[in-house]
Amino acid sequence: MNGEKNQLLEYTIDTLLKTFNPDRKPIMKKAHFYKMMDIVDTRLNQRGINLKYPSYWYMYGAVTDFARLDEVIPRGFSAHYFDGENVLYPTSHRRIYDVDSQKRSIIDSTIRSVCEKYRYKSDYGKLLKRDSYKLNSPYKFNTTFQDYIEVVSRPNQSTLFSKEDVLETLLDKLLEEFPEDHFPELLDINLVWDDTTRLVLDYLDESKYDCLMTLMNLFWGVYSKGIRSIYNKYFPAERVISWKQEYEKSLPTAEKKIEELRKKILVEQNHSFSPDEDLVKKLLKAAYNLNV
Amino acid sequence: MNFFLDTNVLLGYIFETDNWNSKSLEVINHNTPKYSSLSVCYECTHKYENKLKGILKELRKFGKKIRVSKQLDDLESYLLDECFITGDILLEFLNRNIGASKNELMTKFTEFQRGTETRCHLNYKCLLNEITFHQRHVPHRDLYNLCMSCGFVSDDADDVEIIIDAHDLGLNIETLLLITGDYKHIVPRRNFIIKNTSLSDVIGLGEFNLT
Repeated sequence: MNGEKNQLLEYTIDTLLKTFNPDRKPIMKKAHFYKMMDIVDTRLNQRGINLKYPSYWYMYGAVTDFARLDEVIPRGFSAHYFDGENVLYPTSHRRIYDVDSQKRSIIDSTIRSVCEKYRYKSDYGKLLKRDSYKLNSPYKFNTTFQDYIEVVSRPNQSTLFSKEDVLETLLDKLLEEFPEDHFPELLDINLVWDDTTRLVLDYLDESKYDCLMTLMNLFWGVYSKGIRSIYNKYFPAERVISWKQEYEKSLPTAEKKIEELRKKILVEQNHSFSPDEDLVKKLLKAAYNLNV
Repeated sequence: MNFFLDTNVLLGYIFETDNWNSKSLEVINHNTPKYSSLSVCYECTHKYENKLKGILKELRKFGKKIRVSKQLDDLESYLLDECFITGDILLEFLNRNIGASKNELMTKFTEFQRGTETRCHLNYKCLLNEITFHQRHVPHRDLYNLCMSCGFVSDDADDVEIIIDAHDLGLNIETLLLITGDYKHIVPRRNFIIKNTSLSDVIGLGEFNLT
């Protein structure tokens, strides 16, 4: 794939941008482009066309990399399609593509149907994200976690259910859905994150939401690195290896930071507990006797 | 009189137990100035965090099992299958809470876990306040070479560093006693240590009997 220029992909991107936004209005942010391309790519795959579109799954879903597109799109991508904020149909573009008519026809009709679904919808970004997750989310856990992020990030409002109750319900769901068979090395971090998040919900008042955000970013950061290192396509091997290394390196750091935060909260809050004293003593002895 | 405390004494205090009827607690609660070294503190911190982490991993897995279980009847067989080091303790916890609803059980379990963790952390914090940790800047090569020639270094080089730390401190304060639970490398070398270092005595934790 390295060095191979991809006119099929170029044709698809050009057609998509021209059809969706012929007047080059500033309406397509990077994230929208990522999700729309993910949907188009999936639909075309279902119809037998492999665009060899380089993408990976990350923190907020399907993503591509403009630097990688620069390598595979014949005239490059960043300089022609991206104005720093929005992705736009380029002012100067190819007129003749080396793509056969049958493929063009499939691509054109697929893009028409995708554009019809999302064009002129004010919240089309949300719809795109929802549908991209429906199509390709690697695990239910990824999809549920987006709901979790939304609740943690949204300002407090008086609703029927308290934010804390909603978060606890989502935490229970996430606990069940965590793909531990695929990420055994992340299980302990997932559990200490869950445990500490619940501790924050139980104990903290003023700093509660800052702590929840810190914890969420720590866990989601490392998990997303793990996802990226597995759920990616059409990236050079050395890039994927560097993602894998970055992921492995981030595991102990994230765990340590979560543990430190937990320890700080427990010591500062110093809540009195009334657990069975003899059982606590036995547990302390079991820890003391552990060989580490 | 002053005490220089080895890692196992500190760990004994953090976990409120040791192999000598919890003598560590007696030592730390003794009304004598207590010292140790930064290398001991580092080793102790590392071991305490990892020991605690070791049991917390099991507890968290069990906590998850409680939360995701549709019925509580299978918790006992889960514990038997998992072969946890803490398995017997958790079984006892379950037996003491027979008849509790899932929410009640989870609340009690959370309290049990957090209570244990908090105890360890507070004990550790207390140690940091109670003990003065000495930083050595001199290598004391003569003493190191002596330790090398008698096979101490090859037995346990980390222990030798701790003895040199204590020696370095003992040069500046009066009557420094080393308290240690290391009966393998340190206590058997009591005479060697008294003869060649500034330490006044080496006391095995089991023999600590100062009132």
